[in-house]
Amino acid sequence: MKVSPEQFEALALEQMDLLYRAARRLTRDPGRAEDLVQDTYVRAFRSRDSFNLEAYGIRPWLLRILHNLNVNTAQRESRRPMPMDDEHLELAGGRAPDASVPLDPRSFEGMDEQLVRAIEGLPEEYSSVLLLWAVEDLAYKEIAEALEIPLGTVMSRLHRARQKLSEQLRDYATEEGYIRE
Amino acid sequence: MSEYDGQQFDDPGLKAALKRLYGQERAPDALRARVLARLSEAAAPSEVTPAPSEVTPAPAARPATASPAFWRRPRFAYAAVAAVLLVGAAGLVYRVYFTPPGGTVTVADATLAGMVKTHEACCHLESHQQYPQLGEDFPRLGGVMGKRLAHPVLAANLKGDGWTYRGAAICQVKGEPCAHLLFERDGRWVSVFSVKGLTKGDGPVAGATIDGHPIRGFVRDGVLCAIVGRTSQGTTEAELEQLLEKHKAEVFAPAATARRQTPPAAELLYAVNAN
Repeated sequence: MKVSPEQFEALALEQMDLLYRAARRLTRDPGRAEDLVQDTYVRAFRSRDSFNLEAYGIRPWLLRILHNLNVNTAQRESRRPMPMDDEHLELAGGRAPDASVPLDPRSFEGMDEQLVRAIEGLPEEYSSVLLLWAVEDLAYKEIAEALEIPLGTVMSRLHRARQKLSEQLRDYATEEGYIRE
Repeated sequence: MSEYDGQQFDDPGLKAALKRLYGQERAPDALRARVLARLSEAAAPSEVTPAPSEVTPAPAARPATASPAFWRRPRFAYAAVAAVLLVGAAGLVYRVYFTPPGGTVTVADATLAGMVKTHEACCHLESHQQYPQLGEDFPRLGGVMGKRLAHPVLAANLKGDGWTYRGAAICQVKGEPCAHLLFERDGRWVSVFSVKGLTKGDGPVAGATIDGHPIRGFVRDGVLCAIVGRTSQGTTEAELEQLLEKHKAEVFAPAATARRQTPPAAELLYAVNAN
């Protein structure tokens, strides 16, 4: 179903929080996240005539644009040689990937911190699916459309994400005596 | 609709935990203004260009008769950005210079709205119980949460007033971590918040109702303690005023000694054990 420009913009602007959260997770940087959201809206606005309102609404379409823009930006940056300072060289030298991920300031001691750490340690393709499903309440079909992956892949990634979380949190929960081995 | 839609597994515990941790972040107001401004620029006919094919098919040409909505016009958008900045600056000046010492503390509407948002979000969670091991020991709850937040916490026990305790968790108000206790009574919900760093000056908070949510509170040692309800559920300002008056002394200092504070997030353990 075609929508008017006004309807389109109203629908699109309602999703800004969702897009911002997705952008924060992808870029891990508030400034870059804001740029990504802004570019997503501009791109969506310019392409609005190709948008058809379907059963799942506008969210998958906007998320697809956001993800594609992020991939394009990442590819552009990877082609450009970047100077590395000492800190980056040290990080590249051998620290475990999850140890180099700064904790989100929202995290606290204990289980919440462990959960944030575990999520940050997941491969991006797993955490994206998991968080779109859990935080944004997207259906499998919406996630598949947003990330341009088959439905079966959504299901398997979700399963693997939960499995990995479980593995990572089990040690902590056992150590703290929340569950018995 | 897909054949899988009816078969989606659910995991309310994991969802609740992730929503609490990741779902409360909102796009900054400045970003909204920026987007509106950019959309206005993009709406100018000379700047309309086809989207790259990797994202979507090329758009059809914009009808020549289409007239941009008024808020998409660049002049309006820039004015809106300027207005947002001006209001922000004025609010800051007011907060810094015009908070009456010893009188009623005026809390920024954005802060009150933040509490309302968190209240509404948490009411709909499957579980808000981050401290099941503490049961309904409110003084201990206040101490443990206070230790995590490094400030005193209003752990009001409203059970004597007919309310059922629905759990406590560390949540956020306007990006600041806060202690958040939830109570329910006949389908009505009230929240008890303690949050530091969002107000200046101590004293009773000027009563306010934001978006149909009455709020009553006070600021002590820089900690904003407040009770929030919803008018449409039948909660009145007078009722909250009464509750606050009765329980305002139930502010507990951070626990002095404790083993590492590790609220087990029961919902999360559900996820761990589910695999």
